[in-house]
Amino acid sequence: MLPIFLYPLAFLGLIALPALVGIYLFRNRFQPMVVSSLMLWVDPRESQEGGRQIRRLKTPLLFFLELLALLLLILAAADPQVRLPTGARPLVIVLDDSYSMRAGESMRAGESMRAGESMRAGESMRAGETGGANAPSSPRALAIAAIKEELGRQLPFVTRLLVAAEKPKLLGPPMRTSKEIVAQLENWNCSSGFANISDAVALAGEIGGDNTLVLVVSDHKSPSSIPDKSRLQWWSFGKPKSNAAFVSASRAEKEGADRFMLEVANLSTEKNQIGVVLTRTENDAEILRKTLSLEPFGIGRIVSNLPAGTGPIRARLDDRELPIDSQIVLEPFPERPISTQVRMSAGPLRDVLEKALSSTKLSRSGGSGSHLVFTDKEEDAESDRTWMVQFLAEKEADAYSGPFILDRAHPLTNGLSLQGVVWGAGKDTKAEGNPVAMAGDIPLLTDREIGAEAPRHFLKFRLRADLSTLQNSPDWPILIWNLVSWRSAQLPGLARSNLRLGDNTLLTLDKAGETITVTSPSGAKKEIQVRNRQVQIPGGEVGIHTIQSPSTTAVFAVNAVNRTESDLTKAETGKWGSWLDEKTVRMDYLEINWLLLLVVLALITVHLLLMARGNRNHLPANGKSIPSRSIMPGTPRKGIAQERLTP
Amino acid sequence: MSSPLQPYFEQGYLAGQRFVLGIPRNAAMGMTGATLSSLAGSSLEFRDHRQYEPGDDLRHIDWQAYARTDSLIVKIYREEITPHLDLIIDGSQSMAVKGTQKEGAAAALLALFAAAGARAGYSQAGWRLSDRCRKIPGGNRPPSEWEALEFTHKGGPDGPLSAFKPRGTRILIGDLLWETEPLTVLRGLAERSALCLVVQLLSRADVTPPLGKALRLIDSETGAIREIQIDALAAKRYLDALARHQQAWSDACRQCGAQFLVIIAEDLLEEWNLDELVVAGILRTRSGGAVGAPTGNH
Repeated sequence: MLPIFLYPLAFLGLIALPALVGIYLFRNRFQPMVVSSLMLWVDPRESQEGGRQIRRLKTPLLFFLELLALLLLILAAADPQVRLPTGARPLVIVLDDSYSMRAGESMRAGESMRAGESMRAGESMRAGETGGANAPSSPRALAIAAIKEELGRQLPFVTRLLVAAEKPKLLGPPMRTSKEIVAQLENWNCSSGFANISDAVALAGEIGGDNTLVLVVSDHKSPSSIPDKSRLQWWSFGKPKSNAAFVSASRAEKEGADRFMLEVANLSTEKNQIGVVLTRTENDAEILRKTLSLEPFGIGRIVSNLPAGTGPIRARLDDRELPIDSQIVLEPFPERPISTQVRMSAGPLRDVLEKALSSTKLSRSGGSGSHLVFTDKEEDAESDRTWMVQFLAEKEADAYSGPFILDRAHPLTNGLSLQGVVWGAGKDTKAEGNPVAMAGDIPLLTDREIGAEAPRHFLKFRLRADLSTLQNSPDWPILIWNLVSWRSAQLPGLARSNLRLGDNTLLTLDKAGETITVTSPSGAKKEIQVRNRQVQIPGGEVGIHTIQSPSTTAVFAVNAVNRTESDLTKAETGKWGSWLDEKTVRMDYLEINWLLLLVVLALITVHLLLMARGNRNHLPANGKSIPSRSIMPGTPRKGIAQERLTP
Repeated sequence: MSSPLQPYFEQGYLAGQRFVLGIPRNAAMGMTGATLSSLAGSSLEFRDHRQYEPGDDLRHIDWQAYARTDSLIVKIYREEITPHLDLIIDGSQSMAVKGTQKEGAAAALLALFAAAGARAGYSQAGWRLSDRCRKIPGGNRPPSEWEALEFTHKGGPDGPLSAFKPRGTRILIGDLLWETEPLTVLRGLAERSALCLVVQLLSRADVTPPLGKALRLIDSETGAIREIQIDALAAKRYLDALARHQQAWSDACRQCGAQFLVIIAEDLLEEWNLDELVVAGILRTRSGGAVGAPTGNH
């Protein structure tokens, strides 16, 4: 546990050390001289000041005492602070949950899939997680190791884990022991398609209070600069690597054919050959094999039709750097065609209506009980599933050229502009249902919802075709498309069967109040009580999700297709920011310069004692000074000096 | 081939020609010889009367004086002696440190005492002190003719010095820079001697450590090295140690009845000022005139 120094400039005092060594070295330059005997030269160990014998720099104890005292004084002047084993500030660790944090993990599951096993993508991911948990090279593994090390240095007062996924979410309760924290970190799966770290950091600041320390662990540098000596630290454990990944995948009906489109990106600074294999998931039968030659950061596109009745398909890339983005599964698009019946008098309006309906490719003509019934008469629906669309041509009418007021929250107005359109309609300002389009206070299009459990809609178009240009404008097919699409979306089933990681799909049920069970790729089941007929199902985990309800069963696939996350070339390793603000030093560190000063005092005391002992050694054994005598060689006399003896 | 010490022997011999070695007051009694002792003895030359003291020879009682005075009076006769000089030279390597004059001064002192002794009728023996005292072959001749006068020993004597002729004059010349206890050496040396003189012969460098120098001091005998910055305090400490050492020798000499002298080699050879030896009664001038440096070659 290394101390920090509040006044590092004090280390300039270190120049005193070589000065001291220089003094001793200077004093140690000696010339050889043969003497009669060394018996009269006092033992150097008994001396402690000028004139003492110095056996170079290794022998004089005083030198080392002075050296140590100087060093300790300099250290004390630098004001060292030692980190306490337990901190006084809470810590929130923000964990980057994006899947790029697993880069470099082993692809056991991927290898299994290549071998032809009918493992689902979600199961593959689980196996990848297990294998990757022990892989030390992934940013996630490195981050966990670094967190453990940091906890070993100083355990915060309380620690919370905050997973930065599309939305930040807390991982477990507040924890006070390293064991709890490490155990909770195992639930950090890094399975999100996007990490909203800024929101997570903001939330961390809110849940912890002013004293909270925030640590972000990620695989890339912070987009904004991290101020030094603040409560935020950003640790990144990414390593720049090349990667090949699916960055887009879709499957849809195109002119009556089942068509898929895959985009593969070469996220590398070098040109690469990337192999793509397309198989059926049920039997792993190969449908397509292709090798794409891609320039650096280039994208290759594969578009093809599938035979009718093809079930889920799986595409794999010949790349192991990031398993999660190297394979995708595409479910067949959900077929929810609606039936329509036009019960209108022959005329121009009927013609343009039928033409617009046929152009949507989403509807087919039906009889009574169709999903959509267009009429120009006053009549009610014949079945519970029928939505009535009534075109009302009132006798007393005006041609309105706008401005038109549109309810933009209504599905029918999506993309509708009515710019330059003349809408002929009656003058009555009364509206039956909710107005969707109005010309001033004249409702032109209204929507009335009927029923609670399985609501139906009654739409009324007040339209005099002879006074209008709407049916001849580009807004007409838009309006009819919106209508058919809206009705189609209200049919039971999923709106989309192939999602990007993190997207939602809309599930529509036959009845409101049903309970559905969603089984994730990892096998986790989740029951959801649906209040209305529709519910958004999140695609939070890569793989095949299954939805079961009393009335329907649906399947959708979630794929990790995100170019930003798959691009590992911008990954970085480093640490930014420091918690060494005044508050941290005050709360989490212990000042030790007083201890150093005490040691210095002790050293000085020893120094003085040694000096005093040396001084005593200068005196004769009885403590009295020797009387001056004529024979004393300190005052040598010429010729002969004699000690006169008393006979 | 002449010895490198020959000039020093000559200087000492010249200096010694002007002196005679003094006769100790307690020189050997009852010994017949050509020289009259200063003490009472058994010669035929009458010197004085005194009161009888227990232990006096009854044959020397003056019965006539007893008859006249009723008190026992003894006659005191001057003793005739043959004085003997033992010259003991320290043979340690420290006596021949390069850059000092200790070796030459030692040779000169030997020649001085030998010449003065010869002039006083002393017989003479030469001894070399190493781990023990060894008689020098040809030691009864002038020191310049001594064999094996060399300074090669490392250390001091291991024990007491002995085997000297009783009642003789013994002169030890050395730097005395030994760890050996002075009393251990001196007891044997001074025992049964008529006069014992210990001359500590030091060089000027031994008594004046160079101030302000960083020196690597090398022991001339053991080769041990000690590096030291010699400042005033270190010099004082050295001089204090030297003074203590000399004090120890001085005290030991006092206890044993010996005399202790310190001679600085370089000073002796430059000035030949021997006043202190004369004042102490160790040397006597034949004419009683002033003493000075030798002026001519032998």
